[in-house]
Amino acid sequence: MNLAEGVQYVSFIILAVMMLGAALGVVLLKEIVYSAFLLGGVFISISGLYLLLNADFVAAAQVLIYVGAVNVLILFAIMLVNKQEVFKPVRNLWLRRGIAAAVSVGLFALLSTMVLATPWELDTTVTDEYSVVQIGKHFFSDYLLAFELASVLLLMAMVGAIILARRDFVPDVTEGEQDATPALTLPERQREAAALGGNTSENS
Amino acid sequence: MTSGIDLQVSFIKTLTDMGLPQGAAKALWIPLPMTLMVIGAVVGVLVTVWLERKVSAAAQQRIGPEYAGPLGVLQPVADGVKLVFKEDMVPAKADLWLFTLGPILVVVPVILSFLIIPFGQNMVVTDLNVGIFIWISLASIAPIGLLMAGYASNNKYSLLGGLRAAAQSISYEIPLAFAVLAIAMMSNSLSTIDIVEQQAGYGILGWNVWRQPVGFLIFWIAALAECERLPFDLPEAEEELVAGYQTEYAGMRFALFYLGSYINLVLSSLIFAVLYLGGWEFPIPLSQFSDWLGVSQDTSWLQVLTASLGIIMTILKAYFLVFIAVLLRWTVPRVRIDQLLNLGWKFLLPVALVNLLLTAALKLAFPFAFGG
Amino acid sequence: MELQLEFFLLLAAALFCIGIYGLVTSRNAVRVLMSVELLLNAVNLNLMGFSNFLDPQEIKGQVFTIFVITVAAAEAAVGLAIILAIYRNRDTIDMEQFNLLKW
Repeated sequence: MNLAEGVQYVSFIILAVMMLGAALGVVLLKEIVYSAFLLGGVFISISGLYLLLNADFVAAAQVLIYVGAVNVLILFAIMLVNKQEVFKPVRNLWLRRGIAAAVSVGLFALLSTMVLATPWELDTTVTDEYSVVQIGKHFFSDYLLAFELASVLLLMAMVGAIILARRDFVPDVTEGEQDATPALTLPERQREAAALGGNTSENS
Repeated sequence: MTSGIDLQVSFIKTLTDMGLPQGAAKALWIPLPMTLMVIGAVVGVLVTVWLERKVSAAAQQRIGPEYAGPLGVLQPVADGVKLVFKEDMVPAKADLWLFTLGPILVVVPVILSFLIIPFGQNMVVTDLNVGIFIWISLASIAPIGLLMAGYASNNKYSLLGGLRAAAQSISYEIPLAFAVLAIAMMSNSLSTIDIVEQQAGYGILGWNVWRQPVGFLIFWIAALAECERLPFDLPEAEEELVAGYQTEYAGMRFALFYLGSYINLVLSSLIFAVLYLGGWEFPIPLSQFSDWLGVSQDTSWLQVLTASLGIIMTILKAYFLVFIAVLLRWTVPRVRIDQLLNLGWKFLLPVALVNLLLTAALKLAFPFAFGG
Repeated sequence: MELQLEFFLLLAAALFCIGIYGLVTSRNAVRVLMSVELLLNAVNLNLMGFSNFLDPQEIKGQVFTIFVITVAAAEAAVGLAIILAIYRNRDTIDMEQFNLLKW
């Protein structure tokens, strides 16, 4: 084993341990904020693994989109809904957890036997073309339709998210909300809705 | 274009001549430019802090620091020493781990971004072919650290400051990326070396400022917002939020934030110099000089001269931009948070998109001038 | 020994199983969304592994990964917006309480 391979090996092990540990933390920790920050750790370690797989562009894109956008979005959502909430106890919770764990472990066993049993047809040719260039060529030749559809999808997601996350103009009061929220909240919401309505009519 | 001096090749060659294997020589080389970069970044911050104090003083008709060293040049060092020796306080209800990790997450990506700054033909730590994209993606890690610091402080002002900082930083990331994209389109490459190469040859006239007049304004505004410099320093606006996410910080942890924000300013200025001001290029093409002098471009003393001139030019350009940023701090009033977001989403983003479209059209129409 | 394809596939499988476990057992709606992100990342890791070891010439796996990242970003935005809307209506983010459409 020469030096370069040794470095690759060691970094793979470090990244793998980091990723699995952080992923377990995401799933198992009680505090949701820790989970969200650990999710960022998972994303960064995966980006490191991409670097080991000779994919610098995708690694950078992974950091940019997952860490910079998705994780920040999740953190924002947590801070918006972060109310110390004690979940109502559910019967047989431990049984559910046990079954889920058993299914996950079984799935892992299945997948790993598949991975180890399949004779992979490795292709060891080395190309010196930049990955960015090749990805760009794919986008504008054989994956053009998918590429254009992705842009439409992003537009739809943006519009959909704005409409869903925006406060309602007419605050509809359910029975649960009436006794749960203090009396001050409702007029404030109405005023905000009015202000929002005024803004939009001005702009349009 | 000559290749100039390549320190890496000559260093490795010296070591292999001394009997070391190739791999070991390379491994010995790797930490050298990295250490140099970290030292350079810290020294750059010290100079920036001194410049900020002096220029601010001049803008307010004061003298500024004058006792620590000649013209007060040692004042930033004194500041640093003071911060190191301060009591290391953690609020009782704060979350110790996140509280410590927050500033680190803000500083580390900024220092890592120095990897891609070229100071000369071969004077860059790594010439990655995704170059400038690395900077954009690393810059997007910082909001996580800010949110972490804001949340961990267990203070309403801190949380608000952290949320504001994250919102501001992701809003201005997009126009910034679009401005960079226009440059990448003209250079046909994301590598910082190629971007500078593409501006070479015509001296000051070849620089991207002339070809991207809108792009460079967008970039500068967005970069100031990313660095949380004064027209956009809402996350730590003292009249509104005490000190934003830094409220509960003291001592070394605060010093990390302080360092991070100044390194970020220096870094943004360096990137600006590389993208729009021709990086290490002299305003008059150097090949003409060698023609006048009648010496070949491969002469060793000329190459050393070119390399050192390149480093000096890059740093001069960057510090000129730092100077402008400090002047802006004392001439432009702070915007409100809604104005900030409106400016980002409703003005800069459409303008950046139009700029991108225009660049593409010009590139198709005049391929000789816009890098066909 | 060089890095093998199997290492990456096993790692991705482990991540996928962790994601499945989190998806099934979490009661916090945001955590469910995070588990979905874990699943998508596991799949991406698989694709990247295949792209590097089986198809280094065309690297179609990388192209596909970029599409998955795009869709994941859209999914996260809409998913979180839905969670916010539900939270406003039901005043909880407990998955067990999201049962209006149950019967």
